Amino acid sequence: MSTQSSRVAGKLLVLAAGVCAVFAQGPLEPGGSFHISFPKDSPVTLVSADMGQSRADARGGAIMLDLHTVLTLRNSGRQNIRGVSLLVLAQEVTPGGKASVTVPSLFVPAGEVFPVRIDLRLLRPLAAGAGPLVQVALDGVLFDDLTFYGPNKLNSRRAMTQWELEARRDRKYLQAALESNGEEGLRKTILASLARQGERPRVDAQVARNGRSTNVEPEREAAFAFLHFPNAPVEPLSGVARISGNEARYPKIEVRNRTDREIRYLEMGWLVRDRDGREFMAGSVPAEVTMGPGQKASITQSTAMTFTERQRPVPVEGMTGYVASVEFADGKVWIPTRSDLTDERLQRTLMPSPEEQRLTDLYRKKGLAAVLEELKRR
Amino acid sequence: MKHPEEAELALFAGGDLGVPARWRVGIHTARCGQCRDEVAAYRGGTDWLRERADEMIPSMNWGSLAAEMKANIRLGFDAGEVVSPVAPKREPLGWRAAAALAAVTVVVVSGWYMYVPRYLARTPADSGIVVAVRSEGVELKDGRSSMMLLHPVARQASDVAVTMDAEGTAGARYVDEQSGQVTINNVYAE
Repeated sequence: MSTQSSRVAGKLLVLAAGVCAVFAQGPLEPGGSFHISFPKDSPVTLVSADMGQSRADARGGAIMLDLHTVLTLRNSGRQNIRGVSLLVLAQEVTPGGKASVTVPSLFVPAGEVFPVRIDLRLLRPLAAGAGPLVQVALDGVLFDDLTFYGPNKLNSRRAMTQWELEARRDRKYLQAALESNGEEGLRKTILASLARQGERPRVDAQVARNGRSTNVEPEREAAFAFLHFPNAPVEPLSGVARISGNEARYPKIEVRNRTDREIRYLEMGWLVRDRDGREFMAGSVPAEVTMGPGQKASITQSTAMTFTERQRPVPVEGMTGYVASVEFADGKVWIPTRSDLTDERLQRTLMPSPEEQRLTDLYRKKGLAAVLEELKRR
Repeated sequence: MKHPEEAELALFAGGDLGVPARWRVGIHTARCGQCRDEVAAYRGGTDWLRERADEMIPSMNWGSLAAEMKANIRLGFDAGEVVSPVAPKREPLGWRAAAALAAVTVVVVSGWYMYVPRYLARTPADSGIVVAVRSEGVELKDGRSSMMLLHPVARQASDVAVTMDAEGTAGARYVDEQSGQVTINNVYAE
């Protein structure tokens, strides 16, 4: 064979190897990719980890890992558990990036086991380094007296406390419907919730940290309108954001503390109206603040949110804000009441609490008797 | 006896064979009268042609022709000096190798097009960290790398509630089919 032919054959072999890599696939080796660690004094212990159908695929110069894991955990403490949050780190895949899997609305007595499902997809270039790709650790456990255990790196204490308060609020609301109008009243309330969930407008959203505008349309500053809750500890005063096409960025909102307590965290709900007058829930503007009694503060985020619907841009026309939650310096959390949420615009756009979602889903799958049983049990 | 081929005999007659072949054909013709006659015939033809070539065409001005040829050669050298050096010409690939290379390229490109994940192909030009809610789950993307917490393929869109905040957190909430528990997946840009 001539030298020229040898070179051509070599190139063909390299390309053939590339073709093989494109289509290569196989089951994942869990030990090398997935690492789970819980603190020694954790009230939750790992009983087993089932990797199920986890697998790795090499495609187009990248490797894709599908991790499907069911962790079986045990309540090793003495108190009933109301929520668990797990920290999922994939530093080799997305430097600095992290995720969490949280299960709120639990009722796990001491000694009982419960599952937590983690379905994760990782995509990284083939050339990236080896080593454990995913590390799973405990971020926090919330007990039924609202005490908390865990490193709380993702502020899961605040989030789980808020969800637990929402769960108690919505269970009371359903129990009130049952007491005042009987089983039929409860059924109507649940059906109304299911209808709202089905009709709620949905858009796809994306947040870029660098706040870079990707639109060619001219940018303008738009003012927030506000929904005012009479008993909210914070009063929104004014707010603006820069709007360009389907992108809204740099939200800046002025607020005032209406209470005599210090506030350390605030979350503003954010509704967006498109050019057709349709309103949808864009997200929220959270902020760590230090706001003494009566003091004002300005909350701002240097991010850009873009909105699409079926892959088409949703042009932003107007914005409305409302106080979604407040955390005081002593760790107590405030959430809106059910009567605050009766505003027609919120009824149309707001998603249900995790507990309302769980109970309405239970009704859909198992009927009213199962919901009644749940309301009695907890 | 095996006789040399006609071409070998012709080349032998003109003195154009290589050393081993000339030695071999020479030994053969020394023994074989038939081949010796063939070689003699070739040499006779060559002599006849040489004699004819020596007779110049009377009308041709050979001196003028030689001068013109020299001038053309000189012009070629001069032209070659004003252009940049030309890389040595590579031997062209055989058409079979080129066809095989093209076929493999088509397979690779087709494989990439059909199997490359859509969101990889849609990676934005800016390589900053982006969080997004997608139909399959909530995703944290950094250039060509990404981490996505998947939620189950819902029977209805209302089965999965998604959240997004301006700090860079995307979340998806669903009720797990098997356990009946609410599961909340979040990805964080920082």
